[in-house]
Amino acid sequence: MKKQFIYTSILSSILLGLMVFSTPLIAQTALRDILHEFDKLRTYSIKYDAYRELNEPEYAERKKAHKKKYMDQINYIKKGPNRAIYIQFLNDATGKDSLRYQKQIGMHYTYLVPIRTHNIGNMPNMFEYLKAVKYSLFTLNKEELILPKDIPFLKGKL
Amino acid sequence: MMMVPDEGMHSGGGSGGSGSGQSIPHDKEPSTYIWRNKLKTPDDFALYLPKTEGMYKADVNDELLRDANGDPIPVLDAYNCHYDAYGANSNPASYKAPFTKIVFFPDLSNYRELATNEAVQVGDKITYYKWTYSGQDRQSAISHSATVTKVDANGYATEVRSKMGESYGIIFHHPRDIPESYGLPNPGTIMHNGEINPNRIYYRKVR
Repeated sequence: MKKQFIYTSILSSILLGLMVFSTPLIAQTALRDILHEFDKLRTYSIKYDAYRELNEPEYAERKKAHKKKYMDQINYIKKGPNRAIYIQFLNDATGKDSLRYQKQIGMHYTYLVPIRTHNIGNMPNMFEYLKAVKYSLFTLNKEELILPKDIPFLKGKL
Repeated sequence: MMMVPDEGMHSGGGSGGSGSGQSIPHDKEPSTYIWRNKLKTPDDFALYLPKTEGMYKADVNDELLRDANGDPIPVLDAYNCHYDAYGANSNPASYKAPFTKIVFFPDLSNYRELATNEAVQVGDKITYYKWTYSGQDRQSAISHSATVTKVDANGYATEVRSKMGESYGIIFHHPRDIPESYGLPNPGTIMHNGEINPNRIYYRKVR
């Protein structure tokens, strides 16, 4: 009887431990999924921007394809089923969690020729990028990301 | 902005071309331009250049990989053309920690510009400049660096080694066969105010 009590206690402790440690793990997995969507938006934004000014017929198809991916991703974040989650994430990332994202440097979302070196210190960090997303899509309700030169808090950034 | 004639350019001047200047090109027009015609868009870079890891680990679609905490994974060994040609730069304005090998401009303090009529040697360095406005300082015009790997019997460079940004690998090319984003293939650029600025300068390490 005493042995069974000990086994039950141990099992309960293990289960409790699993519950305690698995909750943040699930949260982190969800956070990674959310971040992935914003990383995708940044990648698509860069490629869209790269082709924005190319008007030669040879680039037309690629330009159209990159624009579609970018617009679809904007639409997914802004109007998709997880809209409320993304707004909450953006509020946290630009508010209580902002320090964490300020450490993630070099997060430009416009096209910078990748075979050249650009001053990383002049690029938005992740906090600034996410703030630009929130400002563009939700505060000003735009259908694309506003360029850094037109955002007051990104003046001088690439 | 105009290009100067291909040969016979004479000494630079003004803020950009100041210094000892470079009056005779240390290379000649190549028979063909291979890379210049190929490398125009990001898709071209991905198609034609060897890929390396950039600042952060990424997947094949260039999307960031993140660790279990959701943080991007820095690649501290990522390096660029200036680091490949000249090595590290101890000037703290030349990099952003922790990426000490992604150097924004090279440390030229132990190098001298090649003089007029001085033959180029294997191992000499080239720094390329892309000028956008009159009065621009040299450092802000730097677009690329490379190392000379072949010269002809007359001391003209015929091949250089280039690391293509921090995200792409090394290629070998004629010193004038550069993508448009590195500048013009001609020796120099005449600015609106009449300044002649060099589009590339050859450097040799001071012993």
